[in-house]
Order: sequence, then C-alpha cells, then structure tokens
Amino acid sequence: MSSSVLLAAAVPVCLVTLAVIVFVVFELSGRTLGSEGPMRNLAEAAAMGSVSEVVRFLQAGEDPNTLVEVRPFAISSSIHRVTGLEAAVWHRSAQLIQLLDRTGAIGTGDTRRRLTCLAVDLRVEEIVEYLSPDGASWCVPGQVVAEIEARSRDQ
Amino acid sequence: MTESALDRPNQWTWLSCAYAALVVLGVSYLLFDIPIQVSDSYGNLVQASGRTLGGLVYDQFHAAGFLRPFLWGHIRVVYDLSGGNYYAWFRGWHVGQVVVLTILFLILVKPRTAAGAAAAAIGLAALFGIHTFEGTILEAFPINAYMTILICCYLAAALALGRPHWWRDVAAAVLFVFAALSVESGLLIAVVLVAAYLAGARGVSRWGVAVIVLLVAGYLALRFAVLDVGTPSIGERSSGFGFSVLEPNDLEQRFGRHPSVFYLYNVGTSILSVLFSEPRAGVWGSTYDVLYRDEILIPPVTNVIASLLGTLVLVWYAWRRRTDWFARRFTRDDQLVAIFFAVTLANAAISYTYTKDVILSPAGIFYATALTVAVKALISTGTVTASRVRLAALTVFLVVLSGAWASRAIGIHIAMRATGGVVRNEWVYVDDWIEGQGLKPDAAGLALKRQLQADAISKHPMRPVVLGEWVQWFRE
Repeated sequence: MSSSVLLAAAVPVCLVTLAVIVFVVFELSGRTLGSEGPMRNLAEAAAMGSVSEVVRFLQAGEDPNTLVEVRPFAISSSIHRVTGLEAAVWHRSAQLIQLLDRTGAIGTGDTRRRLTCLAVDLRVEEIVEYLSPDGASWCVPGQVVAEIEARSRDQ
Repeated sequence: MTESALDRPNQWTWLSCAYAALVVLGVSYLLFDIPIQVSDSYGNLVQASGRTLGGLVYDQFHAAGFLRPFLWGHIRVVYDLSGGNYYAWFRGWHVGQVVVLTILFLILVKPRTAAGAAAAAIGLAALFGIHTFEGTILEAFPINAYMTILICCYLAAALALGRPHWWRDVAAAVLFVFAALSVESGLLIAVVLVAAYLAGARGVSRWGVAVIVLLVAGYLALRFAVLDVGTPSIGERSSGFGFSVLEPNDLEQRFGRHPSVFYLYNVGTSILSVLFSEPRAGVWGSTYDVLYRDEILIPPVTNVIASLLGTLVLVWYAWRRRTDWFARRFTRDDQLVAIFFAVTLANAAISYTYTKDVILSPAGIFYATALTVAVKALISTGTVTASRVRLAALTVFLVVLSGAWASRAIGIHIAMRATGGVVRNEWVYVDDWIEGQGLKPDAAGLALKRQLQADAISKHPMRPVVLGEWVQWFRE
C-alpha cells in the first residue's frame, strides 16, 4: 500500500488534533495560544464585550470610573487609556451601559453627559437614547473622542 | 490476514484508540468549559427539581406536543446524583456522553488495518465536525437529549452488528423504549435495527426486530390514540424556506392550505443537508452568499466541499458494491453504509414539520461511520492497481477531503470556546431573561439561579478570547 495515500488521508486531520492538544497543554500551563491573555481590567473586558468578566471585576471591587490602560486590540491603537464606562460605550452595547448604570457608576451628572457625548461621537444611537432620552444638543461633535485620544497620547 | 484475525484488535486498533483519546481530550476540555446555559436549562432544572422523579415522568406523559418523559427523568436523576454540584455533574455528564459516543464509533468502524486507522481519523473529524453535530455539543438542556439519542443509535447499531444472542434482543427493546420516550428522534433506533437486519446483520434476531416493530406501533398508538399528544403544528415555530426563515404567521399564510408542499420541502432539504451541508435548516444560506453577496465566507464553502467530497466517496463505494448488494451479499462495512442511507431517509422523514441541523444529528453520525468505511475502501483499493497518475490524483483528493474535514473540526472547537463566553454573558442578564419568560422562581429556584450564576461567572470564569483573522477561516 502506498504510504503517500495513507499520509494524505491521515496527516491533515492528525495535525489539527495535535494543534488542539498543544493549545490545551499551553492553556493549562497558563498561556492561551492565539489570544492576548486574560482581560487585565474592567475596561478591557467592557471593550471586548466580555460582560461576565465585567461583573467579575465589579465584584472584585474595581471602579468603572477609574482610568486604566487597555491594550490596542481592545479598542484601537490610538486609544489605550480609558475608564471602564468609556470602554463600554466603545463596545456599543446599551445593555452593558444599563448594567453599569444599575451599579450606580454613571449617576446623573457630568459622567452621564460625557458618556452621552462619547456615544454621539461614536454614533451609538441606542446608548444616546438610554443615557439622555431628551437629546444631546450640548455635545460638541468629536470633542470627547479627541480628549480621550489626547489623554492616550500624553500618557 | 484471515477474517478472524481481522476481527481481533491489533496495533492499528490501539493506534486508533490512542488517536481518538487525543481527539476526545481536546473536545472534552473545551466542552467542560461551557457552563450550564440559561435558556432551556435553568427553567428545566427548576421544573425538574420541583417534583418527585415519578411525578415528573408521569406529568410528561400528558404534555402537549411532545412525549419526552425519560428526558425529564434523566435530568432529574443527574440532578439528584449531583448533590448540589451541578456544574461538575451536568458538564461532566456531557463530556462522558462524548467519550461513550467515540468509543461506540470505534467499535462500529473497527479499525484493523493501516487504511482503516487512517479512515477512522477522517471519520472522527466528520463525527465532530459535521454541522448536524453542533447542536449536540454547543447546547444542553442541561442534558442534551439529542446526544443521548446519538449514543442510543450507535448502541443499536453495535447490538445489531454483533454476534447473535438473546440478550441483544432484550437490550434492543429496552434501548428503543428509553430512546423513543426521551425524544422523538429515538424512533430512529427502530430504523437502525430494521435496516441492519435487512442488510444481513443478525445480532438482533428476527423476533427481536419484530418486537421493535410492535413497539413502534405501540408508541404511535400511545402517542396519538391514548395520550393524544399529537405533533407540533405548522404555525408553531418559525422555519427555514428558500433563502430566509419564515415566521409562524407567514408559514400559515403560505402553506396553511397545502402543508404537504412544505413537508416535502423539509424532507428534501433535510436529505440534501446531510449529504452536502447545504441547505441548513431549510435555508440556502451558502447558495445565497455565492449568488448575491460580494464577499464569500470561507467556512460555509469548506463545509460544502467536505460534504461534497465525502458524499462522492460514498457514491463511489455504493457503485463499487452494487453487484453484491443486488445479490443481497453484505459485508459489515456495507451494513454500516446501509444503516446510514436508511437513517438519513427516516431522519429526513421525521423532520417533515420542522427541520434543523440538530434533528438530523443521527443521520450525521452515521454519515461519519459510512464515510469511514468508504474512505477505507478507497485507500485500500485505490492503491493496489493504481497507475502513478491515479495514485497522485488519489493522494490529492484525500488531502483535500481530509483537510476540509480537519477545517470543520477546528470550527467546532472555536465554536465551543465562543459558546462558553456567550453562555457566561447570558448569566449576567439572567434576571432579565426570567422576567421575559414570565417565570416566578420560588426560594429554591432563586438559590439555584445564584449558584449557577456564580458557577458561570466567578467559579469557572471566562477563559481568554481566541483572536485573529484566522478564526474566520474556520468559523463564521
């Protein structure tokens, strides 16, 4: 029997199995191949839409209003210093914003207005409507995003 | 080698077992990481825990639309065994089912040669990678009833293809009753046994098969005449048709007067789905992409290529064996292919009111066994008399076939990791879900919710997300 035929049949599927086993072994030893590793903070989790991780960070006492570093894959290469709330707007999920609002992190003052303007800049109507049902006429277009970009540059 | 020597396990068998163990290890690792899901699981657990085992099973004999008492009994038994350690028991049970299914796959395909071992490797990729298998592994309610049926189907085939013995008749009857009263697809156990018998398998005797046929009649009488459970109606669920999914109202409007057209469509597309991975659940999604979208996604194309080539090998196998089949001479491998054809037809037939991938999972697992024996034959015969050109062509064909199924196998692993994240996120919003469902859990139900939520979010936190453009090569 030709070994080339046998190898042709077996090698592709066996390579995949081997790759999966290598993945498992690496992950069990603490490193997940093909990933950027575990979320480092609430903002990264929020930006990536890992809501369960957001909850875990909240339970661990992390404040969604604190400025933290996020890696470039989370939002973009020009945004790497944000609060968890800002990152949640970047994820474009009104449900996640509601979740954070329920914890009391957004309130009714400046934070709410600022997040509304960020949502306007990012054109996430659903979040704008949730945060400010009466409209967001006070927002200066592009201002909040520019501030966040500047903050990331200055850092 | 003599026939009896070929019947005994040898180094190729052990090699296949070792390989299968690695495959199962990878699948199990990712499967165990998926928490108990919210929809269809939390509510089911609350319901199952609220009654005694006997009361629960009794109630299910009088449910409308479905007759699944043993599924509920199954949930309740694992619930009780868990002693409150739900994650470990229910997720462990799912993993255990995958292990059992894989062992049964190896028992059926019996790898005894190098060709058999190579073919079994492709067969395992097909077993886990075929689209009909997804619903048995990405979901649980919290016991996946379809997975239970797959194990029963393989068990039935193993009983039928073994050496005749009276206990096999008894076991087949018990298996049928358990499967048929777990989920409707369990009726396919009868198809497996009858098809195997017609193809010359005598593990289950003529009387044993006759009892099974009587049990089918008894099931139908119980369901329709005694309990009046009936079947889901045409307007009960949305369903795929053409390029889209039609809502129940649209289905009523279009097919209410002539449901047979819709039924025929479902049966026809179910058969095509098993053989070609297109359409899926009645929807011609990949065809639509090719015709109307600028960007063609890789995974659906790979799926179709894998199934197309696999089906081509099956057709080749059937053509090559036609003379013997007409003379009613069947080998064990022929019997496996015959079971596949019979189960596919029957599985499609019972999908007449509603078709979706997971309902076709019994046909899917027999596709994997049939593909294994057909590829084994292709490797064995293709290399004996082949010229260099034919050998090269065969080599290229097998690389593409194996590569395409390997790609589908990667896809299911990626899907499992993604599902783990999705399920965890669902637990965050469980209160919204409970409210949306109109559920009012009592104190015990609320305690269960808190425990499952903590299991999903804190005790077994989400693992890192696998990122990269390459992910989209394997999974939409």
